[in-house]
Amino acid sequence: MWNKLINRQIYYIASIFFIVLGLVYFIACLEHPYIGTDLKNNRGSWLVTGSDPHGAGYQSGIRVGDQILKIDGMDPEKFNSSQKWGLLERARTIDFCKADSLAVQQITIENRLDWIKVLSDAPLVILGFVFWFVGFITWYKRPFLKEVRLLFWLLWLFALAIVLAHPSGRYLPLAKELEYITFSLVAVMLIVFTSSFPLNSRTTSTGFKITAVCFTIIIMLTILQSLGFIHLQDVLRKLALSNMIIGILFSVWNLCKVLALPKDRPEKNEAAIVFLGIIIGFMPNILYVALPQIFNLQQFLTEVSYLFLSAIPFSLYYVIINKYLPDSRRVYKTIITNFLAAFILSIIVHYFLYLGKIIKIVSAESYLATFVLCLLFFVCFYLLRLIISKLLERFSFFQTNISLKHRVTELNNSITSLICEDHIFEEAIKKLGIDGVFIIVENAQTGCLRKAVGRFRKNHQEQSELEAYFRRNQKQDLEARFLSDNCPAEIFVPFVSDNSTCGIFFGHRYSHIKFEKSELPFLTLLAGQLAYEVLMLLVIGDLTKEINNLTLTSWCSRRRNWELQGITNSLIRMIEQDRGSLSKELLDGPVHSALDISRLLKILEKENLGDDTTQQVVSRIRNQINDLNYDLNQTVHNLRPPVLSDLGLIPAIQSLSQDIMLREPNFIILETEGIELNDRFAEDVEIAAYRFIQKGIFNSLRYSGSKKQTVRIKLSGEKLELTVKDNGQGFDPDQLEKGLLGGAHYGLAIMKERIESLGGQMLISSGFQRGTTLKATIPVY
Amino acid sequence: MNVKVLIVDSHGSFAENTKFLFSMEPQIETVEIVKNGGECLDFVRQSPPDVVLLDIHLNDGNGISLIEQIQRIAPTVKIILMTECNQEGYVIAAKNKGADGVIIKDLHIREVVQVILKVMDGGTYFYQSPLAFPKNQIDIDDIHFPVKPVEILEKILTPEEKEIMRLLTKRLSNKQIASILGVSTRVLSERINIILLKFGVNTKLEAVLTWPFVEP
Repeated sequence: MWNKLINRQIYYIASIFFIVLGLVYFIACLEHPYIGTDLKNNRGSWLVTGSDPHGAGYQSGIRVGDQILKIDGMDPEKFNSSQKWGLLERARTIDFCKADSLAVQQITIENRLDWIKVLSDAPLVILGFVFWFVGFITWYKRPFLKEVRLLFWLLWLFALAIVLAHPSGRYLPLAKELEYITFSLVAVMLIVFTSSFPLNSRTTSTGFKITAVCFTIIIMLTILQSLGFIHLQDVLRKLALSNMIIGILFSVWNLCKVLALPKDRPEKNEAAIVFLGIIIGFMPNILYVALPQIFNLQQFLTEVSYLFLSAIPFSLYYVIINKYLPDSRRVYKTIITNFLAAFILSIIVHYFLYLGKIIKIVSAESYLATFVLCLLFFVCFYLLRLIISKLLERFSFFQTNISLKHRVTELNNSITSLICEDHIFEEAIKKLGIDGVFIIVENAQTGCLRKAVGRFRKNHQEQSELEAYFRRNQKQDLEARFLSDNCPAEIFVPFVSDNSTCGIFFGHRYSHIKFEKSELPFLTLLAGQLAYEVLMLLVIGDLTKEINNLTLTSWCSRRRNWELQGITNSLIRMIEQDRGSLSKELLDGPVHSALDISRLLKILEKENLGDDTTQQVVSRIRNQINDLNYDLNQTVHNLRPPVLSDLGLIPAIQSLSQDIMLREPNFIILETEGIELNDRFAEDVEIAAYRFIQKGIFNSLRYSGSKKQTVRIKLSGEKLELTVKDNGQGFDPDQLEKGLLGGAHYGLAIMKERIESLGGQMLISSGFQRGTTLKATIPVY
Repeated sequence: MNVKVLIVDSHGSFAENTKFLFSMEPQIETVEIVKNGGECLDFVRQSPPDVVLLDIHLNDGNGISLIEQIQRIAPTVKIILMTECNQEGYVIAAKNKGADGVIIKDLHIREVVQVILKVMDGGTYFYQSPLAFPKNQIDIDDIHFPVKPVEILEKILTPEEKEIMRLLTKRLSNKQIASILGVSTRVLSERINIILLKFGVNTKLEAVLTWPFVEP
C-alpha cells in the first residue's frame, strides 16, 4: 500500500498540494499589499533597515533609517510580523517619522487590485508552475528512473520555494517558515541530484553533510523564530542564502568532476549540459540577488534574474528525457558567442542610451541592466526564429526545398522494393519531376551498360553527347556538378563502386526551376543509391544466370546418375544372366559330352582290347577327358554353381566353403540361424547372397592374411542377414571410403550397389589390426 | 526277369548312349527315354517302370524335386539320381527326398547295372563323397593339432605326396603346385584328397598344420 503510494500516488498528491498551495497564496497575495519594509529594534525604537523600491512602503515615502512609531495604531513591539520577522507587512496605517525630522507622518496602505499588480505578481508564480510542470512531465514520461524521481522532487521544492517568495514577503501565514524550509532543502536536494546523476558518486559527500547540517539548523531556527523565542531573522536569511550557494557550488563541483572524464563517456556530455543549465539559471540570481542580500547591498533586477532560473528545469528535462544530446561543446560555443555579442551590444546600447540622455548617470547598475536586456533580446530573438522556422516548416511554405528532401527519402525507401531497374528510373523521374535520367555503368567484367529514361530514351544524339562528357570527366574528382545550360542534362553525378565507374545524368525539371546547390547532396545520395541498385541488379542477373546453369547441370548430372545407376544394375543383371546361361550351356553341352566320352572310354579300358599301344593311348585319352571334365566342372561352378539353383543358398555356401578349404589353407566357419538347409528364396536374392559371401571370403583370403573366416547367415523376419568376418589385419575405413570411389575396392562397391538395388544395405566395418566385417541385409520377400 | 528302366534325361545323345550301353546288358530293359519331368510323370502314371534313372538337371526343373512326385504316383518305383559332379549336397538332398541311389554320370556301365540290381534288391547306393563339410564347429584358434609322428608319415606317404605337402606348406596355390609337378590341377586335387584321407582330416589347413617338417 505504502509502496504503491510511493510509486505513483505520492507524485499526484504532491502535485495537487503544490497547485492548491500556489493558487491559494497567489490569490491571497492579490488581497494583501506588499509594503516591503524591513525593521530592526534598536534599543526600543524601530528603525527601517531596508525598503524595497517595489513595495508600497517605499512608494509612500518610507526610506531606510526612518523610525516607525505605530503600526495600525499599535506599538511595533506588539505587531505580529515586525515582532517575529522584523517585517512591516499586513499593516493598514503606519506612523513614522523621517530620520532627519521629528514630524510624524501617517500613511495608509491601500490594496489596489489592478492588472499591473496581477501582472507583476504572476511571472514568479508562473515560473514556479513551470518548474513543477517540467518536473511532473519528466516523471510522467519516465516514471521508473531513479534520477527522474529525484528531479521531480528537486523541481517540486524549487517550485514551492519560488511560489512562496511573494507570500513570504507579504508575511502570509506559514509562508515565511515554509519558504525557509523548502529553500534550504533545495540545496540538499540539488547536491543529492547532481551527485546521483549523471555519475554514481557517493551521495554522502562533504557538501551533502554541510547542507544537511545547515538545513537542520535552519529548520530549528525557523521554528524558534516562528514561535517568537529568538529574533535572528537576518542571520536566518543569510544562512539560508549561504546554504543555497554552498549547495550550488557543490553541485557545480560534482558536475565538474564528471566533466573531467574522458571524452567518449556519454555522462560527460550530459553533465556539461546540466552544468550549463545550472550556471545560466543561478548566475544572475547569485549575482543580483543572493550576494547583495548577504553583503547588505542594494538588490536590483530581481524579477529578471528569476527568469533565468527557468534554464534549470529545461536543461535537466532535456538531458533526462532525450537519449541523444547535441554536442555540448557546440552548445557552449553558441552560448559564449551570443553572450559576447550581447556584451558588446550592451556596451553600444548603453553608450547610445547615455548619449540620448535616457540614462542620466553611467553606473554598473544601469550597465548590467542593459546587458541583461540585451541577453534577453538575444534569447527572444533565437526563440522567435526557431518558432517561426518551425511554423513555416509545419505549414510548408518552402515546399520545393522540403519536398525534394522528402521525395528523395521516399524514393530511397521505395527503391529497394522496385525490382525492375526500369521502374527505378521511372519512379525517380516521376518523383523528382525531371525530364530524364541517363546512367552509364562501366565494369571490367560486364562491359559498358547504358540506361536512359525520359527524354534521353529515344534521343541517341543526346546520349552520345552525355557519354562523351562522361568519358571526358571520368578521371576527375567525384563531385556532383551542374552542367552548362546548353547541355541536355542539368546535373552530373560521377560515382565509383568496387570495380565499376558510373555516371548519372539528371535532366531538367519540368517546372524549369533550376536545381539549387543545396539540393546537390540529396541528388548525390540518390545517384549513389541508383547506381548501387543497378550494379546489384547486374550482379543478381549474373548470379541468376549462373544458378540456372548450375541447376540445369545438376539436373543433368542427376539424370545421368540415375541412368548410370540403371545401367549398372542392368549390367550386373546381364552379367549374372550370361553367367547363368553360359553355365547351363556348358553343363548341358560340353560337360555331358565329356562325361559320355569318359564312360565310353572306361568300357574300352575295361575290355582290354588291342595291344599295349592302344591301351596306353586309351588311358591317356581318358586322363585328358577327366581333366577336361574337371576343368569344365570348375568353370561351370565358377560361373554359377548349379547347386545354388538346384539346392539353395546353404548347400551352395557349404559346397563353396568346402571347395575353398580344399584349395586354400584356411578355415571357414559357417553359422546359420533361423534358416534351414532347404530354405529357398527368390533367385536374384540367392545369387546376390551367394556372390556377397563369395566376394567376402575371397577378399579376406586375398587381403586380410587371416586363416579363419566366419560366415554367418541369419534369417530374421523378412530379412536375410549375411556376415563375413575375419580377424586379419583390416584396413582404415577412411581409405576404404576413398577405395570405394577409386579402383582398389571396386568389387565391394559393385557388391554394395547390387545389394542396394535389391533394397538391402551393406556395411563395411574395419580398423587397422581389428579384422574386417562385411555385413549385408537383404529383404527376402 | 529284366529290370524295366526309364531314363529321364534332357541331354539327348547322352540318353541315347545310355540306352545303347544298356542294350548290351541282358538284365536291363530300357522301356523309354523321356526328356523332361512332365513326360516322366506321364509315363510313370501310365506304365510304372521298375527303376527311374533320373538326371538331376532337366529342361523343366531339377530331378530332386521330381523324386517326391514320382513316388506319390508310384510308390514302389525305385529312383536313382544321376549327377554330373561329385557333390555332397546332392547326395544329402536326394537321401532326404527318398531317392534310392545317386550315381555320377560317367560311372562305368557295369557299375550302373550293379547299382540298379542292388537297388532292385532293396538296397541303396550313394557314392562316397570324398569330404563332408565339418559337422562340428571347430575353433581353430583353440584347438591343438597334434603333429603327426615322422615315422608314420614316412610309412603312409609316397615321395610324391611328401613333395606335394612340402609345396603346400610353402603356401603355394594348387595351380602353382600343379605346374611345378607337371600334372593337371585335377590330378593334383585328387592327390591332395588322398593325402587328406591318409591324414584323416577334412581340410588343407589341418593337413598343413599337422605337417611336422617346417622349412625355413
